[in-house]
Amino acid sequence: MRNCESNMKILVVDDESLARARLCRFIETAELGDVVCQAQNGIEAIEAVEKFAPDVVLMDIQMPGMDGLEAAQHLSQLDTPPAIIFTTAYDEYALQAFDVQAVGYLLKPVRVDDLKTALSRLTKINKVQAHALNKSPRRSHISAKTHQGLELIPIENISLFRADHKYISVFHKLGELLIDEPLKELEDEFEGEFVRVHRNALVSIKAISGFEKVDDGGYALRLTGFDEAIPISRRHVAGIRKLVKGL
Amino acid sequence: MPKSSDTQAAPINTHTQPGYLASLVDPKELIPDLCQGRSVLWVILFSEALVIVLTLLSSGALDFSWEQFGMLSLYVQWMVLMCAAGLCRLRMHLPSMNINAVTGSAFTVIVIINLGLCLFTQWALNYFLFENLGWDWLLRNQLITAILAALLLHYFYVQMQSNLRARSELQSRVQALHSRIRPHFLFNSMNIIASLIHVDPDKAEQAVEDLSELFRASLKEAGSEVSLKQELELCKKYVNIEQLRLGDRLHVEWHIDAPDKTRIPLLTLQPLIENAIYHGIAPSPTGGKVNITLSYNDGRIFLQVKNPVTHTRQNNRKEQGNHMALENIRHRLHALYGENVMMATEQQAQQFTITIEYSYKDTQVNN
Repeated sequence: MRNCESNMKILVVDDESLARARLCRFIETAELGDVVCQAQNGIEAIEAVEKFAPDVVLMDIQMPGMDGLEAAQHLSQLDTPPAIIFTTAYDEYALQAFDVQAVGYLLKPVRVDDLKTALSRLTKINKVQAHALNKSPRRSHISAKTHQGLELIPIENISLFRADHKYISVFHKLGELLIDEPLKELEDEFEGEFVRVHRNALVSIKAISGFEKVDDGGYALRLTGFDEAIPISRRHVAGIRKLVKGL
Repeated sequence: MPKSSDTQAAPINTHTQPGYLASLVDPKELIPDLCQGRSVLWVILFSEALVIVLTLLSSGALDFSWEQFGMLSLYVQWMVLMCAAGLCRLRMHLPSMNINAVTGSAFTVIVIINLGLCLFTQWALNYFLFENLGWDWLLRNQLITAILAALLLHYFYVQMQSNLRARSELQSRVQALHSRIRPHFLFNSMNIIASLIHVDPDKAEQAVEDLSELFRASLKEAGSEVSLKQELELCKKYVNIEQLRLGDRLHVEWHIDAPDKTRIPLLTLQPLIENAIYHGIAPSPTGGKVNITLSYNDGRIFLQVKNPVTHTRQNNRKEQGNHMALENIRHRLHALYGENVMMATEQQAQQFTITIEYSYKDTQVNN
């Protein structure tokens, strides 16, 4: 537990304002810490974490936009991620993904005593648990640590993942960034939306705009908003041709 | 979001199909578990009774032939114990296969065991007592065994079917109950009420009353009819609770044009609204509007609920719940109004529409 002397900084995340109000009231009346901010969904939560650097996030699981599990997963990439306590009405299967002993979670309606206990033995999500979260439904965003903080790219804005030595370049509507995840795992996670065309390239099916022959006898793909043609490796040609025909 | 496709039909819809029955249970369960002492004891008692019947038939009651009884018992006991052992093994080692294959293999095992025993008996009698039973005896024995085995397996099959029916009925009842009381809704509502008690006790009280009404209705026998007015009141109570949770994200527009006395099955409209909110409003950060239309025209009731489509990426799990709720309503309407119930869903880019139409004749309405 950090900040033993000073008050604990707490971020409350829930899409229902009355649910947030209740937690805030508990924190205030029981003097458990300072609520630095409230957020209504996962995306807001990530922004708030970057802005206020809270010690703890009380995170609802089912939220519109980005849910709590995914937000927690993105947050675990930060250098000093906050501890996370999930709050949920009825979602225990979502929590089976990781060892609930290690990560706090509270069932709604939350009791003030349970909240106290959870805050007194805070734990951060470790890499293994973050990975377990990854197995839950596919993410809505890809996150990357940049010098500005955690950058979130909506999946629908991404046209290409390209493996480049150790990292993967993510090409999206507003530019390009680097992430550190295996291409194979991305391929599995976004199956149906992205397709492997080459050992080093995974393209968004939605972004495909053309299929063409290139000089050396091979084939390449054209992507919307992307000047360069993406070469298709020989073993993927037949599959891609079929896919493009069906579009 | 493939809401409109009915490819993932809810189990309730298919529970008359053998495929579904088979998926509920392993076809191997056709063969009773004969590896247990208790069931072997029953087999012995049952076959002894059969032996008594056979002896009585051929020797009569007063001249009851103990000799024949003994010989038959010896043979029949060998036979059934070996069959029990064979079927016990078969049940343990049978790879998963369909019901016909299981029946076939059980039948084959019994017939082969009998053939083996017959040949052995013939050889033993010939060798020790110099008595020849002849081929007729072998043939007769095999035929009797085959017929009895077929009858027995048929009995097992019928028994399994009735077990399955009971099981699937139970399962669908549980599912129906579960879909009527969504735990997520219940506990979130409780959370809201807990919060309101401090902020606004009057509203909290109201919410408790509304929630009670909803649950009272959920626990009523499915299929009971209520007046349209009652159903609408229930829907409004439900919307009140959702409004507390979702705040200004939820807008509801009502277009009701039917006499209050029209009867409709309890909880017909409410689950449609719940679906619309659960799939259309709750997953959207900005929310949206649910349009509810209900009209009565020319002896037909027309129900329509529209909600905006929210593109979330984690909807698979929810999809199933959605189908279940819709299937439940479909089944209840079919049960009450027969086959003329029309239920259609339409998925557009921005909007999801569900329409239900059915003939409804009621003297109170027509007068």
